[in-house]
Amino acid sequence: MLKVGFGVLCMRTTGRQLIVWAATALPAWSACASETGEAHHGLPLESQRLFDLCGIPITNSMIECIAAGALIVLVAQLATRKMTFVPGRLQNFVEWLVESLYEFLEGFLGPHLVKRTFWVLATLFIFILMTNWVGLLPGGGSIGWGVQTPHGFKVTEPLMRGANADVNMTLGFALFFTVMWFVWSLQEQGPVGMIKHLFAPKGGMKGWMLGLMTLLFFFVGLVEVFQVLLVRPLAFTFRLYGNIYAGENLMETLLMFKHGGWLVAVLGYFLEILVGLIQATVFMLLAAAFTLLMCQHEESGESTGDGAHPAQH
Amino acid sequence: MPNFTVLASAGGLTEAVGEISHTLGIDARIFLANLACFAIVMLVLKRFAYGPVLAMLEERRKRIAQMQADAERVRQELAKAEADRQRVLQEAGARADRILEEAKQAAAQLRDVELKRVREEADRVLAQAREAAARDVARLREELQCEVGRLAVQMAERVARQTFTPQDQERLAAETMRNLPA
Repeated sequence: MLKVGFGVLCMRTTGRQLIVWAATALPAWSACASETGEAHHGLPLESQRLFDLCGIPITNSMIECIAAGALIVLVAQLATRKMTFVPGRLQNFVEWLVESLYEFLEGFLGPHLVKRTFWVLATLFIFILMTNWVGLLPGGGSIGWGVQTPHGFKVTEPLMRGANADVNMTLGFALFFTVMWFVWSLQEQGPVGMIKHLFAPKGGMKGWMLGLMTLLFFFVGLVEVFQVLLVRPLAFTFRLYGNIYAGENLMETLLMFKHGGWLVAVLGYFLEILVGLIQATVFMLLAAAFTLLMCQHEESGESTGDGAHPAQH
Repeated sequence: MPNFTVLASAGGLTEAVGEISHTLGIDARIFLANLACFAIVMLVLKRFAYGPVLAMLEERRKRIAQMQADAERVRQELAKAEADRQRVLQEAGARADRILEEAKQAAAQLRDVELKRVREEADRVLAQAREAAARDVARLREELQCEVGRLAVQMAERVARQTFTPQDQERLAAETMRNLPA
């Protein structure tokens, strides 16, 4: 069945229907959603498997992740393929982005640590931001396979889903950062320095107070290890996942309003653009802060680089 | 923590984690695929974006610093050239003034010397003229005396011829010759 009307194009595929919404389909989106009039059950918690490729299940969040990654790579390639001393628009934009991030992180971490960590922290920011924003593109959750209902066509398996609305992605970010944090800590502190940083008593106590503080700091260190290995990755994972998943649900709910739903959805859309930026920034900032806390040298109380302290920034 | 305790005590921690994983759709293959996608993007960005861009920014920073240093050097050289020009102008002015003054002094000196020379020449010419005049006066006076004497002699001779005897004439001639200046 091929249906064209009010920005909606429906095509029949092998037993399923692929519905394609036009790029300008926010009003149509709202209208179509209202027409279905079904009870809204919200976005499923897990991403949906679309097909398998060499034994790897390809989900709709992976499609979005690949699309965002391809877009980033494409822009980077186009901007840096023929770099000139007087930059063009795209090169200028990429230079501005990289320079801004570098200067921001340099002010936070210091010139030494930023050289070691910039490529990871900047990529985390850019990748999270792009996956958040690509997920907001019109059609992102409304092109896909679905079923015809008495109230109209309903998309049950969207082709794309916010990559960060999938725990597999956010857990990947969290665990990857945890590994990198461990590597950077070892590089900066060494194994002994790392153990001392976690477990050694601070404050220069002597006598029986030293013994008490040693015991106390040992337990504090255990809590710190527990926090580093479990709490922090979980916090990273579910903070990002929760915000993006909630945002997608919010958008879907707003579009269910029968009167003026599309207008409210447009406002929510701008809110989600802001949330996407904030979540990317928060992830990068927290990662930078945790790195700085571990890579600070105890004896000087300063970071490895220029002695910048996070409180100063 | 109480939930963990309850779950662990019930021996259901593994089951709980499995249930959460199942509910949220956590799958090792999807997880690794997503991570690989992120890693590829990160490596591509590191190789083709961060490196070239940061190198270009550093190069541009160096060039701008070099240009600023060059501009500062040119500005200093310009200021130095301006100072040199002012100094040369001042020196030229001073030298011109000095030359003018020296010329004035030389002219005044020359004027004085020439004036003195002219005056001396004039004095000398005047003295020569006076000497010549004196000599002419003396010569004329001698000539006049001679003439007067000759005329007096002629006059006396004529008068004596008419009035005096030859003895008187000889006596008077002798007395006259005696009275004549040497």
